[in-house]
This record gives sequence, structure tokens and C-alpha cells, in this order.
Amino acid sequence: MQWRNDKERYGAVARLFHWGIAALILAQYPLGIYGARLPPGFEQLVVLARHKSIGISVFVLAGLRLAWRRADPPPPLPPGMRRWQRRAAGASHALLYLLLFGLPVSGWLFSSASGVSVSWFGLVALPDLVAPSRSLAHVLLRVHVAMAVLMGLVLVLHAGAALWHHFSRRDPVLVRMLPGRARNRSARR
Amino acid sequence: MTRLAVALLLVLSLPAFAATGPGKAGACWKLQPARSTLSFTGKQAGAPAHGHFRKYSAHFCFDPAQARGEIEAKVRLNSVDTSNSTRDGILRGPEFFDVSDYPVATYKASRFQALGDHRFRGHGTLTLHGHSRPVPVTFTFRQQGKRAHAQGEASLDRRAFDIGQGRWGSTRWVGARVHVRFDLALTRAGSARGAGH
Repeated sequence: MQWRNDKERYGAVARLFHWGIAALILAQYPLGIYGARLPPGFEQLVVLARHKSIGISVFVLAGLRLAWRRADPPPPLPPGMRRWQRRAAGASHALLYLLLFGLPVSGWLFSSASGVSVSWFGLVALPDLVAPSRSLAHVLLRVHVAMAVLMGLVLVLHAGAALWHHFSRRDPVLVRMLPGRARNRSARR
Repeated sequence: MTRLAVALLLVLSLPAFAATGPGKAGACWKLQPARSTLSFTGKQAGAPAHGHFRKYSAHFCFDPAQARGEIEAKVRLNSVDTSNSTRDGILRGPEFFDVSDYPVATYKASRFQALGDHRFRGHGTLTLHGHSRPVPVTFTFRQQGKRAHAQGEASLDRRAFDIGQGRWGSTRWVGARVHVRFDLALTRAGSARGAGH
């Protein structure tokens, strides 16, 4: 098991962060959309509480991931990419990180503004960020949804670019993030 | 004949008896709603949920020197405000307060105990959602001329009043304990029950 990144591929920690957060983000869309459409009641409370708990998890994991990234920089992009492609890769990654924080924080702000305090799976109660305000809640919900849409678009770009690297450029950008492949290491999961 | 005399004596003495109000039930006070609050904190999905009631009234007669009095508060449950209209709607609905059948909660206390330093405990009964249960309150009562301030709290288990039915009955998503706080601004209304306002 190789924990840290090297020149060719991502280490186990970076891959675990990547796929762990990816799984949580993918769960957030159905939970958030389904929860928001439910009629007010018990089920809505439960579904949205899970959505918030997972969002807080994403927030914490994204913070840990950034800290780890500082200590363990990612492998460089493969040679031969154009300048705009490198820039696009850098910008989309930066935007994804921004949204990994922006989405949970905007959701947390929205909850506070709508007078509902947030807890992490009922175990840790979080402080309210702003005082209840109907008009502020209205705006924050729109911001939260807009960020979710933006993240969806960037994720499509992100996954599309990974496939482009793999199938069109035939470079190791996708493979080096896949779990348990390359250099005949046994699968981790 | 003697019976009649005794009865007559009793009837005649009634006004005098009532006039001793301050001794019996203490001076009566009028609630100043604009300067008072009645709030509560429960737990929702592991996080505290705060709310307050906007409409309530209180018949408040209390003599701090003797720790005697009579308090009766009525709370209009549809005035619940938790800063979230969706949650307020659920609270007013049939699974919680069921305000269409039980619009008012009443708290009545006529037995008090001095705890010292202006603090008192009232042994009263809360009638809520068709259930009457003893709920003690602890409060401070501070008087300054024609004004007084009653500030206190109580803790109750919502399940004792069947608040939160069906799936809400589980305490995993809505806690059982509800902490109630009140901060009542009072002005002197006159002695004796029913006197004055």
C-alpha cells in the first residue's frame, strides 16, 4: 500500500479522499432534491437531516483533503498538454474545491437563516451562522441550488476530461486515480 | 335558625374574606405582553430547536413574603413561532399540538415554596393536548414598586402530553425533553382576585 502520491500516481490517502467525497457528493443530489420535494413532515426532516450531516462530512473531509494535499502534492499533469488545457484543469479543480466548501457552507447558512439548527448525525450540534430571516433564507437557498447546478456541470466536465485523457490521449490521468490498479498492487477495496 | 345565622354570617363575611386577598393569594399583577417572553427549547435531529409563543395571558396573584398566590397562565398554541413556518405548521397540526381540538394550554399553580433569594418553586399543573400533568416551575419574583418581574423555567417530557404522535413518538428525531422559559413583566393590578383589570 502506497499512502503518498508519487510522480506517476495518487497514493491511497488522496484516492480515498477523492472517491469518498465523490460518493458523498453523488448521494447529496438525490437526498437534497428528494428531500426538498417531500411534503413537510417526518420523512422530510429525516431525509434533509441526512443531507445536512453528509454535507458537514464533505466540508470536514474537504478541509482534511486540502491539508493533506499541501503535505502531499498531486502528481503533475502528463506532458504534451496545451496551455489552455492545463489552465482548464487547474481552474476546474480549484472550482471543485471551492464548491466542496461553498455547498456545505451555503446549506448551513440556509438552515440557520430558516431557523433550523444543524447537527452532524445527531451527535454534534453545530452553531447557527446567522439569525433566522425569511428573506435571507430565500436568497441562500437559491445560492445553494445554483452552486449545486454549477458543481454538477463542473463534475461532468471533470469526468469527461478524465475519459478524454484515458480514451483519447491514452495517458494515465484517469488510471492513476482509480483504486487498486497499476503496478500490480492488490485492490484496496 | 342557628344554621341560617351561620349561613348569613358566612355570606356577609365573604367580601371581607375576599378583601384579605393579599394575605391569601397575594397582590395581583397584570401581564405586560410586549415586555414578556414565553419561550421553549426542544431538540430536533440532534440540534436545539428554539421557539416562543406570541399569545398568552396570565392571571398572576402572588405574595412573595409568604410564598402564596395563584397563577393561571393560558397559552394560545397556534401562536407558536419557531422562526420556521414549515415547522410551526407541523407543530400546530394533529401530530403535535392539534390546535383545532386543543387551542389552549393552561398552567395553574396555587402551591408555592420559597427557595430563598427571591426564588420560588411553584407546584402546578399543565393542561396541554387534553392531558393534565404536574409540572413544577422555578422562578424568581422581584418587585419594584408597582412593577414586578417573574422569570423562570420548567422542564417537561412532551410524551407525557402525547405531543408528537406516530413516527414522531420516537425521541431520535425529536427529543422528549422540552425546556420552557418565561420572563414576565408585570404591573400592579390591585389586590384580591378579580379586582381591578
